[in-house]
Amino acid sequence: MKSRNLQGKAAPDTHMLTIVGLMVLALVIMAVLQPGDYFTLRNVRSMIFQFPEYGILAFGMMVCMIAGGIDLSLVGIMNFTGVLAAMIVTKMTANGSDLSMAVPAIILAVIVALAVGGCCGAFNGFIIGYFNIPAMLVTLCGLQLYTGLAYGITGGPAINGMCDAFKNIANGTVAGIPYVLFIYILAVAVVAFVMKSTVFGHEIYFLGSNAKASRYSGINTLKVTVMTHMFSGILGGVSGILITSHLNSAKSSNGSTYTLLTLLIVVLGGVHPDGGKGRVMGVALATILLQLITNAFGLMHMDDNAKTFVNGCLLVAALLLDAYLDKRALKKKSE
Amino acid sequence: MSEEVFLKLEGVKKSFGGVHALRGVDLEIRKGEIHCLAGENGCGKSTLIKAISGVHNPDEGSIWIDGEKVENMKPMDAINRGIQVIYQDFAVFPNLTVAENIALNGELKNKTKFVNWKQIHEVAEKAMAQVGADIDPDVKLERLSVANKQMVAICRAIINDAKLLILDEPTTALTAREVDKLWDIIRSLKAKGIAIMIVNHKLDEIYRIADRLTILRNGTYISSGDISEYDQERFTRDMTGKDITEEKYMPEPGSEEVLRVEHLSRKGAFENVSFSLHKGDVLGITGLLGSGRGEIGEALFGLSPADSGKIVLNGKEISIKSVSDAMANEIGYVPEDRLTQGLFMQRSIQDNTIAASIRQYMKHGRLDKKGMEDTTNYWIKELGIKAPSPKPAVRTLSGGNAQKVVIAKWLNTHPKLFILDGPTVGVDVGAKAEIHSILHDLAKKGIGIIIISDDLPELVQNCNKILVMKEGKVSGMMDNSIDERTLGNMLVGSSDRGGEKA
Repeated sequence: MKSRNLQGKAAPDTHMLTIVGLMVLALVIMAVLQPGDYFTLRNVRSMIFQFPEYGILAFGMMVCMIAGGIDLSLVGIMNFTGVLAAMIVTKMTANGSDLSMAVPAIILAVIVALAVGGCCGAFNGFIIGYFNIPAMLVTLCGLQLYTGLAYGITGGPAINGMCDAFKNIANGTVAGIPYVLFIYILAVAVVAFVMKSTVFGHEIYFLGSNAKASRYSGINTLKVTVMTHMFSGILGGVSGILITSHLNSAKSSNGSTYTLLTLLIVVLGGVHPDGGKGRVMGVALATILLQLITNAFGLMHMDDNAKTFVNGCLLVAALLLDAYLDKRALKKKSE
Repeated sequence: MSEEVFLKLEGVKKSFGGVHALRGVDLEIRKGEIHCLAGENGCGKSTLIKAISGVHNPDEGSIWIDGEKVENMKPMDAINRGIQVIYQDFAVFPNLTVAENIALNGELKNKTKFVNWKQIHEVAEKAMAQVGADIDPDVKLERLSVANKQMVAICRAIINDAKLLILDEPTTALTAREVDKLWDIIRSLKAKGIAIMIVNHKLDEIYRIADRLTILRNGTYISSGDISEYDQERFTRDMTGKDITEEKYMPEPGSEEVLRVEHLSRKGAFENVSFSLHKGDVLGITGLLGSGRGEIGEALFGLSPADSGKIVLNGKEISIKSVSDAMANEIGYVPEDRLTQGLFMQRSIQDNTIAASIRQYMKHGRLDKKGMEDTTNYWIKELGIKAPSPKPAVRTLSGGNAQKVVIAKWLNTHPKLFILDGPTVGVDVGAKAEIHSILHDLAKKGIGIIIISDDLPELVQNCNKILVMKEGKVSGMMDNSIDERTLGNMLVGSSDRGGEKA
């Protein structure tokens, strides 16, 4: 028992178990309350259509938070890149009528969205790292900045009329399975690989654990900060494509609740707000847990505010649980 | 001096996460005496202070204050009983004025809800008059010198009817003149019947001020008595647990030059520093705080690069403008503050060990986890780090083992020049000797070793060359035939002259 504790792995595992436990609890409650509607293929599919767009945003939030910062600008990046992508697709396919241009238009839109997302993030990261301004302030400004840019392009009304191929990205299925599930799984795999098996990933953890010691260990902290936010921005770009395709509409104010939602997910997923701690699987599980709850509330036709309240309770519970586990781990060690 | 006991500790024990900081300490402080608490770094002095001031409650043992046994003491209880601690950093508020710093604590203690500015000034001025301090009460603390900040801290302590004043290493950052003034104040407080406990491990200072002495080693009480009962031999033996077997480091005289530094300067930190290091040499750099000793190390490692001068490493002139330059030239650096600068406390031994050399492990597009683990196991064995595996977080290790991890981090980069600022601060005696022998072995292999320290016995014992810094300039280059006393006097004496000039 003691040696397992010393390995420092017991605590995060407990956290993961808690999330899985909560998921089971949600499923059981729904099995009792709404057995007919909840456990249908249709409902599962409808859930899968919904969570990847903010699930991928949550990974952006996660990497920044592990690096000891935060990224509040993700929704801004998502809408800015979404608007750009929508513009490219509608212009090149003449509002969805010229289908011959659909594939090149989509490819260009995706490349532009990811590149612009990366640039927005890199800009955030540079301001944070070079001028030493807290990430919270910089990315909050970033949120306004990129939302404003998106608004400037659309001039207010949403861009609609994308070609079917583009709409299919987030709404299509293969053998009954939504494409977005594969996109999400790919995103999980990429983020997990970066965090676990690359120098960059380890440097993110180092930076978040102790920025000063990172510098004293020869880690280029400015570079890592810029790259972390760039990574987050690219993930924001992916979400931009997904939400635009999903809603068949791009405007500056889509998904405005996602900033707080992604924060909730990463903290629930065991990412420590002080940085240096957090796992991809935890965040993925937390995303799914929240989707289960949201869906349950939807099916029961309950008030949206009640959902907000439950989410709040969950977050407080997660924070208390973490504090308790930390304390218990410390106590165990001193015994 | 009365024989009446103010504070008595018996068999006090305290451990943190498996590390026994105190293993049974007895202590007796009488009213109106100046009592020195001595012991090497890491002997548990700070923990003991925290136990007395109610920050930590002892696991075992008992504490009597003024003849009354106290249990579960909180910091506020200790203050109410007249115990005041002045920590090394003085715990003053730099953004508040002198008067606010002195008087606000009292306001808090009396649970006043509103601030009476007139009273604050009166209280502050009264306190300053008592210790003979002459500081403008409206100046912000951050603008004061170290000595004056300390004065403010003392004033703040005594306004609350202090009966016991504890000073944690009060002289480390002071010039000789300021030390004299401090001792005058201490003696005047003693005359008022206040008991004073000073944590110090500098023998010459202890002789000048203390009435009685208690020595701790490795968290254990060793001895206690009148200062007259201690001569230097007993003092050293009680402190270190060794009969004075000062084996000084004596390398074979090497001819190969490892490092040459010429006319290195950085504005506001140091100027015109030149020295050289041959194969086998261990160079010590010492000086008072602010003398530029630490800044030389920071310049060589590129943290705050030098403005001008020449650095020649292994016969090649190099330019160091950043940490990456220093690492590209195979320079390693153990920073002064292990906790904030040297280690990632929450991360595993393995993460810490490979932190500076992680790029070596990138193989076929991914990190070689097995390689990282093997390396960590190698260093755990090689340096004798007491840990069951590479997995535990570094915060679970004792000071000595944690410091070995910092050393492992740099040895894994295979440095040609290894700079260590305070390599054994907060390290227990056994690990200290081990770290020293590791450094000697490295030096023999031709790696340039520079030890920056204010621990004079450490320097004399381990360095065959000692560079003394004074106000940013080199004031002498000694070999290790010099004894600690003379070296100490050199530091103190030199700053004395500086004081007179000003």
